[in-house]
Amino acid sequence: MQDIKYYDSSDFPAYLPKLNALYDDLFSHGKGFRSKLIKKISKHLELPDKNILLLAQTIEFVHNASLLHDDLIDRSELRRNKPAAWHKYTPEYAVLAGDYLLARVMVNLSKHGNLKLIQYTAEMISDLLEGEWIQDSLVSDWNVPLDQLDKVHNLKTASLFKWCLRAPFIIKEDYRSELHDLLAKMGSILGVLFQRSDDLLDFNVRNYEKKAVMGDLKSGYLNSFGAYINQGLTNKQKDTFRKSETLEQVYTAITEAKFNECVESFDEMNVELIELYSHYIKQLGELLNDKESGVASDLEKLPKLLYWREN
Amino acid sequence: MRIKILSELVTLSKNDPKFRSMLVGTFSKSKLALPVAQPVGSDDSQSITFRVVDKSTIKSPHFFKIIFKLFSLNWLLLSLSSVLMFYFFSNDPVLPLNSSVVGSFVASLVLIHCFVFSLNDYYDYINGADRLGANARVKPIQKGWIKADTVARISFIMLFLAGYTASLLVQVNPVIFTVLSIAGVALGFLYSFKKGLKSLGLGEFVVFVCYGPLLACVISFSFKQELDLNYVLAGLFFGAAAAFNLGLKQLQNIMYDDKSSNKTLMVRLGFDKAKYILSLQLISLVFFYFYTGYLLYVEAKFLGVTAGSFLLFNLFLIKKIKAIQSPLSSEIKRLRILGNLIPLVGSTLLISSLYLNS
Repeated sequence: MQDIKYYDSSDFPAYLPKLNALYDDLFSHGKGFRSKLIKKISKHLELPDKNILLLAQTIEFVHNASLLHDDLIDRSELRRNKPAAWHKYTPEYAVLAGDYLLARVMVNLSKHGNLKLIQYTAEMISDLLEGEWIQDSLVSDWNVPLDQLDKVHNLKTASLFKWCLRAPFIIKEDYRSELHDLLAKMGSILGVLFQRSDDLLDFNVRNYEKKAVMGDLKSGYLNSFGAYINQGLTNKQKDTFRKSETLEQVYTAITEAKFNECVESFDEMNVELIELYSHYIKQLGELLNDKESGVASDLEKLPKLLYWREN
Repeated sequence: MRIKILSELVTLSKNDPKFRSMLVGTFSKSKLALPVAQPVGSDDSQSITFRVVDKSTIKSPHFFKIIFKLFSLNWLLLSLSSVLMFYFFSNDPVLPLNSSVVGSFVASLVLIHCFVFSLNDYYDYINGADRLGANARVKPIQKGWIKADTVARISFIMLFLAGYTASLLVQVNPVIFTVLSIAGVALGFLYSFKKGLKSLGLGEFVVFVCYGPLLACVISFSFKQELDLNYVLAGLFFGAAAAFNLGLKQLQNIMYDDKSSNKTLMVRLGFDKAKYILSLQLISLVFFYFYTGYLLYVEAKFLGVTAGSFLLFNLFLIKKIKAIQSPLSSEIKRLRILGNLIPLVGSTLLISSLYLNS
């Protein structure tokens, strides 16, 4: 965990101490994965520091705004092992704080002046919110298939990853369509892999950080791994499965052997995606010049980190 | 644990000379190139990535399953239900129908159906539409069960066979059958070719015409060797049922169609209005049912009973539509299965009414 405070005293009104305190809480601990990704790519593109800061700030603001809203929508009381903002302050403040971050993003990008970046960021936020909306509409839908959930994740999760890959090139004013097309596909895969890994974690698979499990099922939401297990079950098994609150109950519903079999085949499916991603990395290498080639080698390591959770 | 994948990935630009052969499957006799699925709204990519696999690694299901999916035989219920109903209505023990003509008609109808649906799948595949959407990766071509090139050939063989089996019908009235056949084939092409009429919001209208008055005209000429207006009007019920089923399919695809600028009727209406229109369509089907029964001279008391049953079935479907909260809801798929049964249910109830009437 690290400090992901990509802002200073001029970013938020000093006369709203509660807002500042809320942000201090929110940004004081986070993996900062997305901003780190931005920095890695930007380093190879030799972007000026102020541009790197702008991009890092933008992605962390957008991501954390979505977390503020998410926690309230899901009524999650904890975020990063601390009370969630809506719970510690009020739901109204959490909503407004999230909105304020998104507004600051637009202010800061407008000051920078790259219209394509502003437009793309607005589209990204729009996709994110659309994904959130649709995901919320699928709560208690116990038969939603995996490929439908992938569409949600492509909007909600993958849109940020796509932005992390594309924004540094946009701010550098490299607008090549074949490059951005490729980066978008790679970002989609990273987003899906990240989400699927997170969903496996909810079933205690590769849960190295010992996070709380079974949260999705208990909230009435069938995540991607849940949907994957669900598709092969009888109606009676589905009924028992969806009512499970612990892993032991999941094993009772579908047997531990079946559960492990599902993990294996789910991994196999995702290895195909990782292979596709590697294929795109090779193509990316052909589109970058010598100075930029480090981008491809850094991005190559991401599936290992995001899906297999290996450092 | 790491799994070794035994396939090769190849990305080709759409301008690449090898692209077409890879897409339709003529590049190799022993291998297949399966386009990888695209995320939502990415169908305007200038390149496609193929996963090249050995044909022997594809696990094809039973032949009948391939045929069922390739020709969308579930939709055949729509056309055969109306044929069944008209057959019961028209077949008089004193003056039976000409069995050769009827047989020829049914055979050519089935073959035309197979032609239209396989060609539609082929074009969806070529245009990339089948790599998006709620039904992405469920069709035989996408799964590698059959090559695109083979599907194109099969569809035109179906058309040829349909023409051949319809030759007996054409002899009954060459001008009329030729005109009706051309109209049907033309509408089928216009519906499917490139983005087609469906992307202009006219899909439901085309389907209504084809499965309704057009089909009823052909049935009338086949069974009675003349145009019976009662048939055409009675056929409206089946046209409306077909339009409803298409509407359901488009509701399921509303998100993908919207993002790929495919302006179907449901996209133009929006999710909530689309649900409302579908519910209205179900109500209108009850009126169409009543009207059809009237045209078939079914007595009011028998018609009332069966119409009541049909109404209950439709109210059940309306309740299901109202419960759908998301364009990605799994309930839409279930509703589509039930929707496919509407013409069969309606037809069976009408036949029951005719039986009670006699």
